[in-house]
Amino acid sequence: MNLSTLELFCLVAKVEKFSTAANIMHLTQPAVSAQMQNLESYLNVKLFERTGRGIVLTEAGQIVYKHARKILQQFENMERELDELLSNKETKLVIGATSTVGDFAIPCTIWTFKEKYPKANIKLEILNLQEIVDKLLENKIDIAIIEGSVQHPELITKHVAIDKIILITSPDNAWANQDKISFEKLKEIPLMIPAEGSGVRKIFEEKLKELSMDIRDLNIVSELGSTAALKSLVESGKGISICCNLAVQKELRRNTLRAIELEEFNDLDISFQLIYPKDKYLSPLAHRFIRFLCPDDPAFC
Amino acid sequence: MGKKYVLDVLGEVCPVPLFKTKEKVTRELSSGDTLLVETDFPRAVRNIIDWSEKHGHHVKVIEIDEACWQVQVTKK
Repeated sequence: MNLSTLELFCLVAKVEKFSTAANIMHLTQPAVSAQMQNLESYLNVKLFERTGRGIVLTEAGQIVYKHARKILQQFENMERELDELLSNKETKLVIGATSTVGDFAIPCTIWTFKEKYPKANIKLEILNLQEIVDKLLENKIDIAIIEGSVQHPELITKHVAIDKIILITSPDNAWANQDKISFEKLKEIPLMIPAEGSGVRKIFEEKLKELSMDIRDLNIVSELGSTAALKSLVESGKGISICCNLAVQKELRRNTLRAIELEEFNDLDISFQLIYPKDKYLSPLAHRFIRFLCPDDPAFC
Repeated sequence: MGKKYVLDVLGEVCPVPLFKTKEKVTRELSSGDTLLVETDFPRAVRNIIDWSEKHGHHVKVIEIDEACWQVQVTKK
């Protein structure tokens, strides 16, 4: 039993469906069920009643809900008050992020975190993977969020969330009418890819290699370090690019970009990781940010 | 039965959905009116629930699509 279980319970109670809560928290439905079962056996009461449409709280569930909310609120108040004790130096937190993560998901996470801990003074630096690793080891940034993975003996890695890599195109291009495209066909289309050092590119290249294909056979017209720049080039119809699904949600919904699958690939997953140095002092704020992003079960913005 | 309002914030990342929700609920809705907020941003769903409950508004969530939600906020 811990606070994140209570938090999840409150969300389940509110949305009245395990599957909805799972989607909102980036968890699987079995993971949500398991946590709720644990809570039920810990408290030794039945919390939910199954209905045709989902679940409703039992009478016991309603009591738990009423108190769980108070406990969570009380805990937040405690942390806020503890914050008041922090010196100015301790409220500083420098976060590094790769372009994919830093341009889209993280600003929201930082904002939500700051709502909870107003004293936090957070600086976000968008860097490539190598720069992030260097700066973490030089103590110039405290923690970082990256896509893909990094193996380094002096770094701790924690899983935050999972996303998919997709091909994106402008809906106006001739090739935009198909849902899938073959590697052979892709060779003919101008391709813009993230610059060396991008996690998206690394995973894309590795997958091609696995299938005995080479990225150099493709018609690469430019390599860019910024996801935002890649997106606007694609939007203007200059060619195809690869990126994380997460980074183009708005464009896909608004129909200014279209997603195409590569025939040879099944889903190409990419994970987001939180990394920080192993044997270094972490401020209370850094600890809290890590806990905020990676509770016992990870959830991402 | 109060009036129903719709707020489409699809594609907007937080804090935008919450800010727009706050503004509409606070300024435009009368007590008993409901705002239907459509968002595809999971954190926004959680933030809107938290904000609504803190301010005593009734809140309900419906999943429209696998990654798309309608958050119904009924003003206190």
